[in-house]
Amino acid sequence: MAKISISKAALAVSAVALGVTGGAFAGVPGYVDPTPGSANFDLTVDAGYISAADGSVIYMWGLHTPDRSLMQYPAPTLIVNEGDEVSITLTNCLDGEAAAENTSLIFPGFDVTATGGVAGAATREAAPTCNAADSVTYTFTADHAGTFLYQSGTNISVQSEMGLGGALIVRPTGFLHRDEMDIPDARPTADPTVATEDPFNYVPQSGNQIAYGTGTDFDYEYLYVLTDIDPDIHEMVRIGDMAGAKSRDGKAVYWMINGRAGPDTFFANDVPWLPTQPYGSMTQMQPGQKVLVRTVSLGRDLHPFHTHGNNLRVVAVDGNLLSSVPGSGIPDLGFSDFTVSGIPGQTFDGVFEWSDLGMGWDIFDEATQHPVEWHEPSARTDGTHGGVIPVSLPGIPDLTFGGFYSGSPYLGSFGQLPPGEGGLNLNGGFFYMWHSHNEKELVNNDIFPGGMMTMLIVEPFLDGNGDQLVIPRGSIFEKTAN
Amino acid sequence: MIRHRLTRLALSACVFGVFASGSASAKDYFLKAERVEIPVQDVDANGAPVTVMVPMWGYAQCAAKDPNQCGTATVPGPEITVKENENLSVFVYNDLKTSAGDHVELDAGRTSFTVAGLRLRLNYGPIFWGPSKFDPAGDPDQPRRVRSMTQEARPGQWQRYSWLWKQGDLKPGTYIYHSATHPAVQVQMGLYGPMTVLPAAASEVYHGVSVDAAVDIFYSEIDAAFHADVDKGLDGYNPIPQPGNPAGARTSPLVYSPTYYLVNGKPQVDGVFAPTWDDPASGGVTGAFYDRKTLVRFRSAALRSRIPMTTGATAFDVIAETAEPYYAPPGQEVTVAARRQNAILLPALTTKDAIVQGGKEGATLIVDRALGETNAGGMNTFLVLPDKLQVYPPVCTPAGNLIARVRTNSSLGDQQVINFKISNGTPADDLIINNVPAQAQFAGKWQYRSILVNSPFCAPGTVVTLSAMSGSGGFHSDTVTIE
Amino acid sequence: MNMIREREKGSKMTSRRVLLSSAALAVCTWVGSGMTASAGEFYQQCPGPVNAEGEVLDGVGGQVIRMDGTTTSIDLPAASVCYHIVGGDGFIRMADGTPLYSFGFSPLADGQNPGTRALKSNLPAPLIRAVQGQKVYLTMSNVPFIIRPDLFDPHSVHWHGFPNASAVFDGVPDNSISPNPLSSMTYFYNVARPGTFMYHCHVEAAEHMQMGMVGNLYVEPAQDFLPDGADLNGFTHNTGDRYAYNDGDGSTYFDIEIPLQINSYDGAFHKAHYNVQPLPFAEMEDTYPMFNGRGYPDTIRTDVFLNANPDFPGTTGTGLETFAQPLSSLISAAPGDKVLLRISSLSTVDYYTLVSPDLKMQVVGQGSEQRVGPDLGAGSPSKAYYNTHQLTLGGGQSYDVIIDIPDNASGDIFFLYTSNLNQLANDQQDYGGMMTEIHVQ
Repeated sequence: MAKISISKAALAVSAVALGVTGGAFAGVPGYVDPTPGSANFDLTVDAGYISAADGSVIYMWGLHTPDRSLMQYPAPTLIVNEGDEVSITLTNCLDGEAAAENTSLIFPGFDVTATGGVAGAATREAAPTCNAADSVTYTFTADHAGTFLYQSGTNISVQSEMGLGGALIVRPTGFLHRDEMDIPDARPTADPTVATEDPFNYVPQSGNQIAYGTGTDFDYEYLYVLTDIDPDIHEMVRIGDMAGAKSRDGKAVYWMINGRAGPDTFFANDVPWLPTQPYGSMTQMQPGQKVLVRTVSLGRDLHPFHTHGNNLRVVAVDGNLLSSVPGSGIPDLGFSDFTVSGIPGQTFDGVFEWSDLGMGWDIFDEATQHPVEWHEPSARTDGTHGGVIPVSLPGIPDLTFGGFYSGSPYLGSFGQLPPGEGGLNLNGGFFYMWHSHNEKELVNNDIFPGGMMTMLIVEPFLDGNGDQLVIPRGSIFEKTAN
Repeated sequence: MIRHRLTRLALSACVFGVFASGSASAKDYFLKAERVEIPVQDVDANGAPVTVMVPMWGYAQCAAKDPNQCGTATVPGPEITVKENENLSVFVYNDLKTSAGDHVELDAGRTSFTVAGLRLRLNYGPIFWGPSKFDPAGDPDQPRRVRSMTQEARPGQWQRYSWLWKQGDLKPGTYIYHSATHPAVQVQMGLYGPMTVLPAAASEVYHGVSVDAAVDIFYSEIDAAFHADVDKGLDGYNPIPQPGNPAGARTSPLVYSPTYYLVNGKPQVDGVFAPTWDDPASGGVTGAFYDRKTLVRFRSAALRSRIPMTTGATAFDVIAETAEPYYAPPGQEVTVAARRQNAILLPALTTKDAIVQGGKEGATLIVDRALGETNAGGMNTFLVLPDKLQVYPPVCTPAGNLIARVRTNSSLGDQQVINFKISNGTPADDLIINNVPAQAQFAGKWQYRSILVNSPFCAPGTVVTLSAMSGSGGFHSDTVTIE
Repeated sequence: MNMIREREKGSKMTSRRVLLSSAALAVCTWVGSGMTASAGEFYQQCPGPVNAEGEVLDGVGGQVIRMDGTTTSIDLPAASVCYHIVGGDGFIRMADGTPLYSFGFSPLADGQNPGTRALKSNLPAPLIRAVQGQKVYLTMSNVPFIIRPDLFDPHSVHWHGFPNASAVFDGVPDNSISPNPLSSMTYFYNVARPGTFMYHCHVEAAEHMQMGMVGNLYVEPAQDFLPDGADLNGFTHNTGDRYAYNDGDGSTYFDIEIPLQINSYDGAFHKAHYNVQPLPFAEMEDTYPMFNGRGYPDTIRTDVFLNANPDFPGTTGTGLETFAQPLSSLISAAPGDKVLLRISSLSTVDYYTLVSPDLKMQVVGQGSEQRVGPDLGAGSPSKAYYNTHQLTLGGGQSYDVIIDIPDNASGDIFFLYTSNLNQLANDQQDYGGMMTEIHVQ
């Protein structure tokens, strides 16, 4: 059986992008309105096409902001502040499409007032005229912080499938970006008497990066919008057979994170060859840091989202902190799991941490003479500092090598690889797959691998050149839409 | 996170006292399992409306243990409601037939009954097929297979099922009852229905949990091709083919593709909320005032997971699943740790209970986010939480006049009017009184409007529904049986 | 020697490395293929000689390192435990009698040469058990496929849910190394947390997992080894008492434990594989829903199924048959027993809902973690257990539930099955699928 591998050529591009732009993947790309106290967005519904990573293109209905001419999938991520008066004006430019129909937006969990347009089952709807006179404006107060979804409230069984949905992030009161991460000078010194700074003791220069309250602080945040696609429904809609689309028992053959199927998920945001799929999902952190995992499910099926590397501590569902004391900000009712169900129509937030604690051996090569402060906690007593990997690994002829393997089992180190192997791991990081654990969903139609899959990179403190490695602070790429 | 405080400790002690004396009152239900054709309004390949008659198996409620005193079978079946201190017995009569009118041969013609989550008191089951039924060549080591998990009702006979061993066995909660015989076929054919066990304390739905109103949302699915095959008898569905049987019949329930998605027994088109007297909740359910507590009892007899999702501000505080409240700490029955969600995973053949309070007054569309909808409609329903209008159960005076009482909120405004309807179920008798002024002269207060009606509604046993509706006040109704 | 071995710093090596001799010739001759083995050799690495349970005999008990960095000295049965499994292929029998071509892991005794076995696929894979605080040396030897000699797939072991995993032992082929046919790799795990995990091959995951390389794995808590009579906040521990987690109060005590893994097969996919056809990934749909590798009623059989296919010459009556489906799912208990179900799913396609209609299940853990609630000031977190009659699992999810067998249930039979009722089938055979029984003595 011929096996199809991830294209090394394609990934080389990804690696270059990663290398050139540094931590181009960190953060949640999204739109903000810098006006204090309010957030206004204009969203337009258009038809368009996306690429499914196996070469096929899929007809979609999507939303976009005025700074883009093409629809995007998923819908633009909107980032507002708690207490903002949010106003979103929807214009329906499906006119000219064979199955053109009304559409609308719902914001579950918020008390929305809709004006304009015509009455619909869930809310007021915009007719497909592409005329501002038929637009609908949805206004609400973003009265609680969290991760939310917004999506079509019209013909939901078909328009959800077609792509009309995205993420809404409400920053809590008091949230403040860090101007820059406090990355200590953790460079090892030849002189062991020279103390090095504890890399785990981050002292934010400024800022208050929290998802809800003090119990949900994070160093980096990432968004994962989980969707699935049955292309037959899209084709029926494209040719105007809405009755056929509605009667079909949907059966997805594409599975996506942030609108991209693996391995496109590895690419940076806004790569030019995916013009309607602007969001990547490659994830970066360093040992001891906290990653906020914001997950939004907008498909038709449940997806078991598995975080390799460690358990994920779920702290909120549907923007509701799992807390026994409302208002405390402390997620004491959160639960830890290695695979969390993405349930369509739900969101969940989790905090992911990774360190070498409990590994039983030193993840840093003894040869690097690294400081004990690289371990967390550095004062621990399990004696793994300086401990080598307890087994010998097979020889090169016995092995198949992954492209993200550095050649060394140690973090930040490199080893010998056969010609043509590896090469995608610039800093000697540890790569972990984050993916749907219904493995059928790791394919793009009939081609493995792909699907609902991305990677976490636990990066070392030094890059491949021995220089301090800095992942840019989280929550970059916010931009204004108008 | 919300917490519900127990206020009934003293009361429950009394209840236990009653049971110690062994004087639980009996409550009997009589159900007839029979074939029924359910009409579904669908569209044909050309988009033209067409009524499809789907053969199903349903339960009809009977007035007594007499198959001739039964109503028409419905799917889901009639609601069984019982208090935790009552001694429930359900008598099931087996009248399952094929389209040709023959007794069903599948499963030796048997059916049975169970309540998922409640253990039968006396279970004479399970009943098994012998291994030789499946492989005449014989794998002598392969065990028998269960046919019925509880005792069977034979064709044309009654079977009794009861649950109460001792106080506490009949736990309060939201249940589904269903056939325990070959459930892959018999449940799919429609042999399921809602059951509710109420605590002894009047206002409670679980120990420690009180609400102002409770509503039911029941999801189910139909794979019409499967129904048609089973309805043909062994020519269409034959899991144990024997030499000489016609070929071509389905042998297993594995292949499944629902064609209709039902909420409370029918597919609902997601049209605009437009209440009328004929359908005052416009395809939905009406709970308590939006700022009070309404319990939504979600049940699903679908074979796939469904996901009710709010489209508005009304969020769900999920307090129980499969009739097991999320008591925190576990082991007591005092405080429930609710899980607030906008969308609820409702797996196959399970129940969940959610409290709604606040959020948005009026009607909120609740959709199935697992996208259960076809051209016939789908799992769309409106959850109506009236904001300014509430009716009281109608009562009769000794003179035989009916008092219709409505409470309105002053925010309804002086200019608003209320429309009343009083009904005994016979449309010709409907009494509609329109344009009663709200007269909200007490700012910020509630006020009452009472109407005395000379009517035929006060005969003992009459089932009277009082409804009230106003332009901005919403709709509310209540039904009582005159004693 | 290569770069990696040069890095080993032999003086610090703690494990012995045993050459098990090359199996290449034997296997290749038997298959009759023209395989030209490279330098393949099978090795097992273990820090010392082991007993029948794989425990290292010169282990001296040890120290539990908790994830919060604290340590506890405790008398463990052994400081280290060694397993050796082989990845290969064979046949798994469905409950309708159909043998389906499978990949799988099967067990080997310490020092046993993988080449002495023929068909090598267990479903589920050999149960891996360890005690919190132990070090696990898990050697996986990749023997060439017998039925598909045209394939040269590497395999790997992914300990699903291992906390703070390293990349090299995580088993994801893209991110690490995977042993080729005719070679071995020893995975090392310092077992810091108790709980119900699972393991599987992560190479070509959609294919190899659908083909059957999945198994049960769980870690017993250190609390099991408290001294006799130890007080757990009012619960007295007696030697031999067992718990799901370090609960601190005996609330996860159990009498009987049953691993119950959902692992279902798509008959068409397996047949396509056997017939060397293109693999239908998009059409993958499981047609044999199973617990522990068996469909009902085989789930309640307590005998072992042999790895055999009467249509495949040389596998029946030749002595090459090996056991393939070792694990019954029958739950046999006495009135009053507490039964711990370690429920996991390695389905590659679907979510399944399991129901226990008659007996409620108390969920005490999920995802290898005890369910704990807020710290109410008593010094330890409260419990966030809950009761239910249903569990809904996708692939890679696990729950720990305790069922109390009622005192008045002597002689009763209860059922545990999927409420996705159309899955109560063995493909085209009815009255089967994902169901098992609880028999009360």
